[in-house]
Amino acid sequence: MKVLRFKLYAYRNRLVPMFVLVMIPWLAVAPWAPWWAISIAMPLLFICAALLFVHVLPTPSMTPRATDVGTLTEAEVLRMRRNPDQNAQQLLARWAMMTRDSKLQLEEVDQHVSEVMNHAESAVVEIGRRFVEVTRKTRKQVELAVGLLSRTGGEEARATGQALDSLTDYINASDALLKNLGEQLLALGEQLANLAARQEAVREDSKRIDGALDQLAALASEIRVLALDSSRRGGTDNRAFVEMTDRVRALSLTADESSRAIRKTLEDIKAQAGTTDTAIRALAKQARDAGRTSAQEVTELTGATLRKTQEVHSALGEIGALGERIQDDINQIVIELQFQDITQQKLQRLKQPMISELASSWLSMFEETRAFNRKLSATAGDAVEAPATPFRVSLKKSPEAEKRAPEADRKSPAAGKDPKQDAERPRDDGSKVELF
Amino acid sequence: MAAILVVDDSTTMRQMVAFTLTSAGHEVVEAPDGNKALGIAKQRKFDLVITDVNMPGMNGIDLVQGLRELPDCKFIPILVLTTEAGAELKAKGKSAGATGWIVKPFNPEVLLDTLKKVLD
Repeated sequence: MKVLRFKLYAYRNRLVPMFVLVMIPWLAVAPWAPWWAISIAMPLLFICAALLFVHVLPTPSMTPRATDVGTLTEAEVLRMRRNPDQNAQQLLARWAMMTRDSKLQLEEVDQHVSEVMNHAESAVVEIGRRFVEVTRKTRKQVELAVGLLSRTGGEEARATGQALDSLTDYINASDALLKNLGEQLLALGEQLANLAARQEAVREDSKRIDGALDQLAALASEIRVLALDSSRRGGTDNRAFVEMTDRVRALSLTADESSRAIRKTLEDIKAQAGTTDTAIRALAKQARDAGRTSAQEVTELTGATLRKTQEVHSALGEIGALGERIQDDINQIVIELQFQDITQQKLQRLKQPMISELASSWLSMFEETRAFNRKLSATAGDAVEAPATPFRVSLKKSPEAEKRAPEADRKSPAAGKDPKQDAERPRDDGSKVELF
Repeated sequence: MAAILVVDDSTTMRQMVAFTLTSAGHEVVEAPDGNKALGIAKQRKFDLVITDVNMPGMNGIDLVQGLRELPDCKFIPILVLTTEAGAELKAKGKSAGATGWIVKPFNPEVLLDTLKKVLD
């Protein structure tokens, strides 16, 4: 029965998982099994589990673990007091084992905390580095964007000595170019108009030539008539005079023919001049219209470009405002990261003293137990006859224990008997061995 | 643009301060503790020093005293940037020769404003 109790106590944390494990196959089959099979299987299952627990599961070692409650029965305490030295040695061994285990656990915890802190540190450093990069890139972008509108192209352009023209300059230059083109077209139109005026003058000249030729023809006719009259009046007396009149007549014929040819040529010129004049006038009109249209379009284009520039300018202003907001966010992140860092620093400051304190605590417990061992050895004879009281080992002083402490001191056979031994008892510093 | 020595045992905190200051165009030299900071301060001149208080080796108050003994650091502003806000410690810092006391966590804008004030 005692073994069963001990087994139940030793396996108290595993009983539920073991029961669940045993139940799993039964639960898996239950939906398909008939009701009578289930009603038979259920009690059998509990019987099998009990048999398994009693006969199959090994009985654990009798040495209690660190987590066990150090409550012993009266008989065990009496037995321990009959052979105090051996039992105290066992107690010391248990304490030593517990201390060693705790030390290993503490070292593991310390290692884990250090790892976590290192991870946090490296993560924060990486985040900080990335933020610096982002900020640098954003600043460069803004500089380039602003450089489009300002005179220079930012720090990079200044560093290389290459000053880029701004967008505004480009727009102004384009405007000037187009205006110049328009002016040139207008000038061309004017020149063509002048050409047309000159053509008009040529036409006037040709009219005058026409008049002169008419006069020449009339003159030639008069010469011919004169020549005929002279020959009729002169008769045949004067042979030389006749020859002269023949010559004059021939001359007049030639002049007439020439005047006809000139007239024909002038008529051709007049016709050509008329055609050219019409073409030049049309060209001049076209050029003038093109110039006016170009100038109007350039003005409209310039206005639109300037409006666009204003839009770009306001967009850049918004980008700047956003940049300031980003800066505020980054400031906030910097503050948050400091909170993390401060917490980490505090944790680091806390870590080492905490571990030292724990180690000291365990050491004092060990010393206390050793003192107890000495005391137990010294009072072994009295203890055998002493009334049996529960023997309790507690890591911390509970309020109940504090309440009982004076009473226990009063009841203890050692209390008040040997002040020297009382003086050897360690002072209470959070960990305590109490004998009730 | 000022040359500033930042002293803090926490790498993260040093980087935070350095990031804030370099963004504002200052030149920053970092030191992880008081002894190293003192060694750096002996080698070159700084316009300002920002130091933590709780550091391994030489703490911030001792560093302020040590810096004030150096001829180049006798009259430069020294700011203490720490999580400690106790009046007693502040008085110690003041008597050691600190110019100002900023409690962590710091706001970058506030830090830069303070810097401007003490540098002007």
